[in-house]
Amino acid sequence: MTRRSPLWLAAPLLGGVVLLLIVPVLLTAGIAFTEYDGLSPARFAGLDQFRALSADPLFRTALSNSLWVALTGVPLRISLALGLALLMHRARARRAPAAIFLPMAIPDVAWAILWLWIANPLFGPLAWLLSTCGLRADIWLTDPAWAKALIVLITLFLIGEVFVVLHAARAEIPERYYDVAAVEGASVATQFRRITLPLLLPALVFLSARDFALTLQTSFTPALIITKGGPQYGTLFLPLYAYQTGFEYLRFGLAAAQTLVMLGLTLAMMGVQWWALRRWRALA
Amino acid sequence: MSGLRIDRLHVDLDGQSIIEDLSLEVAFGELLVIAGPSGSGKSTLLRALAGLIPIRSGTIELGGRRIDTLAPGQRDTAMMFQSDALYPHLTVLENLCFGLRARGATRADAQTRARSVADRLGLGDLLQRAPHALSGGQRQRVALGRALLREPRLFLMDEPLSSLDAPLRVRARAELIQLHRSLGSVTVYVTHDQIEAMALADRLAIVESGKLLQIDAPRTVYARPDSLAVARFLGAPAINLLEIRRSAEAWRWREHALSLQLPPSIDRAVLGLRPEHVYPLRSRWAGTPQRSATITTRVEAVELVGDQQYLSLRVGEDTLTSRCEPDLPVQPGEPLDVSLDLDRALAFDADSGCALAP
Repeated sequence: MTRRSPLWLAAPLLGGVVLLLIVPVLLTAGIAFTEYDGLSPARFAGLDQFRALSADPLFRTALSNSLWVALTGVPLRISLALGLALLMHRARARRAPAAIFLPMAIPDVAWAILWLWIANPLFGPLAWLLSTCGLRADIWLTDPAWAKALIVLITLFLIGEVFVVLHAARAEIPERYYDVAAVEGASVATQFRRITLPLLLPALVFLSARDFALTLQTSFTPALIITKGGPQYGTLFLPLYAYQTGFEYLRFGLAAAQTLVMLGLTLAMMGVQWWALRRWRALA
Repeated sequence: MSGLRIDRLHVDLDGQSIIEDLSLEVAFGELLVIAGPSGSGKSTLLRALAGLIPIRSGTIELGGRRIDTLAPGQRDTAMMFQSDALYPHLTVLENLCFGLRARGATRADAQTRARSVADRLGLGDLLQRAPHALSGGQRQRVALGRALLREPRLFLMDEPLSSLDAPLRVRARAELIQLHRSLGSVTVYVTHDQIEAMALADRLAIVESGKLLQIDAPRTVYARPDSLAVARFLGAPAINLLEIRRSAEAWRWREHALSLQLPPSIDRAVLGLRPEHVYPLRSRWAGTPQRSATITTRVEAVELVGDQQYLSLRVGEDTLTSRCEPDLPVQPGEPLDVSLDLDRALAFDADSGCALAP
């Protein structure tokens, strides 16, 4: 029997990656430079689609909406997951971590439909909560900023993976550092600031960058199902806008160009992460 | 002024009683070594003194002030651990400054003091290094420097030398003693290494199963152990334990009569005889005890450890260990006459394990 390259064992996976990832990316990149409606043959359009994007006020709205949700959602989710991870570590909890992970196991669409009920201004629990705070129960249906806040709130529960990684990373820090610090008179706050935070930094940077890239995509489902991009384009996010441009208005060339901008943002985040980790390694 | 006073201390861990009714006192300037087998509760005791785990009952006083109610950082305590426990993301200088800064010193002041201690310990050139770029010995020095900067009145050490290799350890031991003297603190040093225990201790406490068995000068603990457990713990190779009984008005081990004076109320006991008190008759190192017993044995194994050799000697189904000079010619399998030094022999109650008056 001849020995084959171990690469053959990875072939099913690699085949899938090529078919479902590389090919679509290349196709998208190609389509972005054309005018294409899916019915008539594509026509080369050069940079016309990108010019159209830069002139499109709605695209700018979608871009800033996406960045707003990412820049508020990511820090909130990371902080929440970190807080819970440290609490669970301290409590030596065994089952509670599973509860924190649970929302991740619910399919996106089911999660969004659940929130459709929670946020319903007539009979949802959120309506009651908003009105006890002196706010109108349908404020997220009328105010674009509140609509975005609702989307952020919905994604705040999706911290399972971040939590699991941070929980494990905290368990990796030897307790003797904290023993020494306590004997040396360091307060709990100092211990957090000078020991826990720096030692978790690589994980935090990695998770933030990953969460940022994911947020660009995961904001799609709730925006599609709950707010449909409204009110006043308040929850029109990049993936939703690209979806509408492509599959509702059949302007595939423009949609592809929008998607490439998203890809660019994601790659930029990966660059930041790579740079931060390298810098950290150089320090350590 | 009294130093450290522990009174009727009980410590539980996960619902299990680890330290039971332990009381002892250590003066300022005194180095107490706590030794015992692993799992005896000695590390737990140290952590309780540092305030890292709660105590169930009892009191701990330092210099006349109760400290068991204080937070760990307020006890004037420094602690060194088995591993150096330096913060991996901080430089040597930052590691040294950590505690000073946490206790409110300014950056400039902390750095000045850290540098002076670093110079004293020969760490002056390493201040900007990260811990992982240091050797084990250097890391241990940084940990020591950190403890010194605490200017502790109570210095707790939990096997701080166990991660060092042998030659380094002997040197570090000497330095530790010197530093302890210059600090004038109460130093409590935990180890399971009996050589380290004997070498360092002003007084030696033997702990087993959370109970204090004996506390005294190391020389006394070694020569006059209170109990079988202490006798067994100290000494390597281990002490020979012979089951003896009284028959026909004489104490006997096997068929050999031994001239011993033991309380008339008992008729069996355990005789403890250290290997250095079992002399081959031909040995130049043989002592001249007033009371002795000569028996014939068969050499089973010879273990040369450089400056001395240990002989395993077979007597019927019993085995005796004897120590002699390294150049005494002995071959496994040959017969050997040895003399048991009964002047130095220790007798213990066969049931309770308590030492019997000689």
